[in-house]
Amino acid sequence: MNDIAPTQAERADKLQGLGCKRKRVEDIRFTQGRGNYVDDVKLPGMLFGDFVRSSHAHARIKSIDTSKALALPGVKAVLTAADLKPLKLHYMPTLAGDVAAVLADEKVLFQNQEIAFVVAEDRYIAADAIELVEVEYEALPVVVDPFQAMAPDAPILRDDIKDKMNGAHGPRKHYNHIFNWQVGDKQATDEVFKTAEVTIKDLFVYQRTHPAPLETCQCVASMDKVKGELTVWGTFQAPHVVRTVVSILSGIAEHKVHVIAPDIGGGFGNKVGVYPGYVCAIVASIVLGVPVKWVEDRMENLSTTSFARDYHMATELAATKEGKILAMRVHMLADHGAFDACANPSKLPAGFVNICTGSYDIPVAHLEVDGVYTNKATGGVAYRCSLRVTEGIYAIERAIEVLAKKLGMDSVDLRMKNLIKAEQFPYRSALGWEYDSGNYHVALQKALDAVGYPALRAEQKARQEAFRRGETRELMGIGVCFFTEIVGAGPSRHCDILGVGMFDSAEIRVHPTGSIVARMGTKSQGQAHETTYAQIIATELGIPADDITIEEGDTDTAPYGLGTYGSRSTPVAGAATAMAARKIRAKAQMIAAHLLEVSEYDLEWDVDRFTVKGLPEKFKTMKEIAWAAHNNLPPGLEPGLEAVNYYDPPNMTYPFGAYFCVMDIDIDTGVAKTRRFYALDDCGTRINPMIIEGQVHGGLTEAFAIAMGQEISYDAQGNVMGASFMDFFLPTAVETPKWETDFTVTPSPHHPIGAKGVGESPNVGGVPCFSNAVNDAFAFLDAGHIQMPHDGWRLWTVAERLGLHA
Amino acid sequence: MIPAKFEYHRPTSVQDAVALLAQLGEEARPLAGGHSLIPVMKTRLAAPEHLVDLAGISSLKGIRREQDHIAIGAMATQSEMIASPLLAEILPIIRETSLLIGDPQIRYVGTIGGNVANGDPGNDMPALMMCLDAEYQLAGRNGQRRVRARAFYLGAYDTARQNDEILTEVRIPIPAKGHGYAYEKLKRKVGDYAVAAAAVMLTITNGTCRAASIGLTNVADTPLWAEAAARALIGTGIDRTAVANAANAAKAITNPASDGPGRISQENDRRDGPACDRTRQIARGSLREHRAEKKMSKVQVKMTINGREVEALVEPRTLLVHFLREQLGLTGTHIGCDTSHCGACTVDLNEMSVKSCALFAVQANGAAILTIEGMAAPDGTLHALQEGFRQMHGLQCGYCTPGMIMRAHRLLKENPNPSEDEIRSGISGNLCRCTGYQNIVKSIQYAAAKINGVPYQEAAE
Repeated sequence: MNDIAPTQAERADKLQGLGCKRKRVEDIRFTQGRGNYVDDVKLPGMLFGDFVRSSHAHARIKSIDTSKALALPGVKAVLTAADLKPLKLHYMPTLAGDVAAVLADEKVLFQNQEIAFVVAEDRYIAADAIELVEVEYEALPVVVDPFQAMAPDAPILRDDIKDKMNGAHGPRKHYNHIFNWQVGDKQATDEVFKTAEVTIKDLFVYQRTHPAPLETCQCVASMDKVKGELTVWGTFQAPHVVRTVVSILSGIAEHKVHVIAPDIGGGFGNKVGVYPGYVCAIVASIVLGVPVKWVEDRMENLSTTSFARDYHMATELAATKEGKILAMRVHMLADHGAFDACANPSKLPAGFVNICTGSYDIPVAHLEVDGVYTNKATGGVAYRCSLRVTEGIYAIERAIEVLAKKLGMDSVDLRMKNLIKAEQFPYRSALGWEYDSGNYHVALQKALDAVGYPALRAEQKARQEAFRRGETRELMGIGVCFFTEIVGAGPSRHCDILGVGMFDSAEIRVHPTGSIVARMGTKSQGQAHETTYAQIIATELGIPADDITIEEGDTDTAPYGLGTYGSRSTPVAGAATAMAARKIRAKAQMIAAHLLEVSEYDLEWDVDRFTVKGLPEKFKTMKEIAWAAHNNLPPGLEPGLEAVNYYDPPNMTYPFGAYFCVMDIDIDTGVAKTRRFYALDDCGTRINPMIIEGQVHGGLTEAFAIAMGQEISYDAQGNVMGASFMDFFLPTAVETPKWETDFTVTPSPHHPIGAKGVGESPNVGGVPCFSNAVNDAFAFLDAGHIQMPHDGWRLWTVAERLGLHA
Repeated sequence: MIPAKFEYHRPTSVQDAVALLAQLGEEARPLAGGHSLIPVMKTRLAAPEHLVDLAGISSLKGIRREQDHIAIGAMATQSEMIASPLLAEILPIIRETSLLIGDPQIRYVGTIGGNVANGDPGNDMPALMMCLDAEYQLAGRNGQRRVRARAFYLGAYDTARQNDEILTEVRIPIPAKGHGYAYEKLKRKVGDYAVAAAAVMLTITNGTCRAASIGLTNVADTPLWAEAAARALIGTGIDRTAVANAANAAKAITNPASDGPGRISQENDRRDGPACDRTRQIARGSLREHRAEKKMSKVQVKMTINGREVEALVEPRTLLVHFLREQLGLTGTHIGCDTSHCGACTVDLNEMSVKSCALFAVQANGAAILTIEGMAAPDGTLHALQEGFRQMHGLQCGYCTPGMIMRAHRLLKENPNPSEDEIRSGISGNLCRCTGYQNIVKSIQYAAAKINGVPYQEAAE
């Protein structure tokens, strides 16, 4: 050892490993406009496809005349259901055990549903051609109110399954019913409610909205007729699943289907499922033998691809008058639109919504969910919802506020009294989940201290008195939310997608000169996997992150995985990465022992090297070991230094957080200003604090939009409203609040590096926090629960209803 | 989001423009900034067969004083009016209103003529012009005439302008020195139409109101001049009662549309719904058929892109963003929406930030354009913004990033040392779904510091 040898800390720094704010690898190409997104893909002879869409929400198709479109120069084909029927592709299976129309056959079920697919030489000709297809409709009565879907005289929506009274999830109560799902102990819960001192019940509606990533859904399908092989580039959050589905649908063997997800401009759950556009582009390419590109425009995206939420939740809590919660009972009505295409694990039609007992120690609970069909677009599980967790946590966090008001307690005190205690972990909830770890009281207290909670309540009280005296026309609201969410789908005993268990994978290969290529089964759409997975490997293997290339999205080379959504990448593929790296390190230890002529048990790991215990000057770095792995191994050990791991997680992970919001609402204009938003997140081990902060900022901004004005709605005729960026509320940098972030660290005990994932948390916690702030502002005037979205007009009408404008 | 075919004309005089409109009839529309017309053409709710681009007529530009009037050329942009020292001195209410219209990119291209002439009840300038008692100069085949703004608006999208007429100039009487003014606009977010807005001009001497004028935006199917409301203020000290009286008088003449942010939804117009009639369908189809098959002439365009001269033949309807991406292979500029809201397509054109999805390539003939591909130096050294976005984590999926950087580039030229609020307002024409903007602000601050040669201080949270 001499003065110029780097210290251990310097060596660790050089790795840019776990825990550091490593700058992103992806940025180098994105800031230079050198991303490779699907619409950047250009192939010789490529044609362009576009859809003819229904103007009606519910109608029989009497005729489709494609002759004029076909006659337009430059148009190569027009597909309708009649063309897909012989291939049995006019319907496709959904992830939820239903079927969805690819092209409308005999009837249309929602406005803008796909009726015909025009393929032309370029997108301009295609745009002209779709106007030349003539469709004759016979209008049918429309169902847009989910509460009317199961009326005895409701119009029949799904002619195709009307005689199937047994759905994928059990018996169907009605021809417009999809499933009934129950969990918990109904009898015990009802008993508690009968005798409880205090109960509350309210209907919380989580409105329909849409993930709206900035890049819409798109694909390029290219059939090589000579080789009999199909290549598809697409906006796929789960490229391997798409490959398996495409193989099954097309009959082309899976090893001859090449699916590539290149750079994706945001996903947020919008890009998980298979859409008619993908199927039609593939069919067209197979039929015509040339590449076919499909790129949807924004109105198509907002009105026909996977929507989010649309849950109507009748929520009840029972408690003692001192504020100990005894039971929870919830009935949820889920509006699924025309087909059940929710991206849920196959056994769970309502995702993980049974997380709805939240962060609280509620001994007894019962949850019932009924899903129904309506004349609306399909989907439901999307938008950082972590599989319906946003819905469940909205219900409990609003219910806590309503209960607190009834008890005359501060809702923070009510939470403190009922939060699951640290010593109760791992905690089995009354609705069946085993929460891995948590330190809730410490986190909540840290947040309370950071925002100066008692002073805020004192200020609010003073302002309420000033309001009553007519001195101010503004109401101050304090929003509180303590959420627990559930991510990392998931253990294959609970979680499968179309029968494929929800494990994930990592394959790591070390080159002779010590640099690494690693591939995972997930697919980043902005979550910086190229940067963060390298950090995990850097710490595990002592190779600098800059010497590690991460690849995802090419199904030919990446090991099989279930993709990226629901914050599952870190919990599952991140675990696989650590496990594969540890296999490599174990082999490296054997090689090091051979090189140093000692026993493996005499070696210890020190940042980037194995040293002989007690003799730190005798060491071999991982770089040296990588070289030796290709020419100098102990007898019997095969050459090379690589490993693959398929990780089936033993459990989900449970990130949690404490969010606070301060809002001032002008009752004369309805305008609400967010004065302050503080977010404390605990996602376990923090791989890259800069990335985590970015995820929280982004998720909170989406939450702000959802709570404060975003929605996709339908009028009584089924006309979709809000399906363009003119109406759909997306805040600019001016309206978006400033975010304060903070954290605690409670590692997951079952995860190899203790990390839990964080992407979904800000949406899960943010929406209830904003909504609670609005409700809290009006609570002292006994306004009752105020439904989202909390746009200016709706808040103005609340003030009007309360007589505040007199 | 592709317009129907049309023929493109670019006259160089008002006379030629009028002659074209007269000759081509109802299927011809004048094109000013295009940021109202082109988005509508992209949805095909409007499909004129001919566009007469007024951008080549230099006599339509300019802001000048004529004795007791200010004359503003119809093609003066919002951005030019905001920067005008003459207007700042004499009619500061115009700048105040312009700053509330659209977003920075729209203001570079949107014109006063376009804003006042098309009869959209949601536009802001009409009510302001009624408040100011402006006159519009119209040139048509029968000669020139002037129409008072207060008499110009007949109904939604229905004005006194005849099809063959062009609005050439807005003439505003110069108000008394020291007048009080305000344009207040209630809206959901930057870029939205007003839920409601009002323009107010007052003259007060010795504490008493001598003159008042009030214009109202988007609370009826036309802009409104609230005569009775203004009268209720005259002779008063503008006390609470007088204001309440004026407000009630104003309310009495309103008749707001009851959907969305208070304006008639274009989507409602688009839908035929169950009432769709077979005859209409056939008629519309044959029109489309005729147009789709028509061979419309291509136009030669020449521009400088990232310092390189480019020449090409384009259809008039080819959007600039498609020209860049498809014909020139510059795929760094992205498309995120259909309605020109998201700004992902922003490029720098003739030193202005413009949304390339709301411009035709033909309109960019002769222009110098800078795209994201041209930001790094020839030797590969990244621009300060490219470095800043990486250092401060100003991007995640990367899709909004080129448009964001191109806008930030122009912003820092307009204002080399912007405050945080100025940055947020400066990028309000660019949407991001991933970052929540906070680190984008820091990225731009980092770049500004680097360009200005000062150390970057990250602000404490």
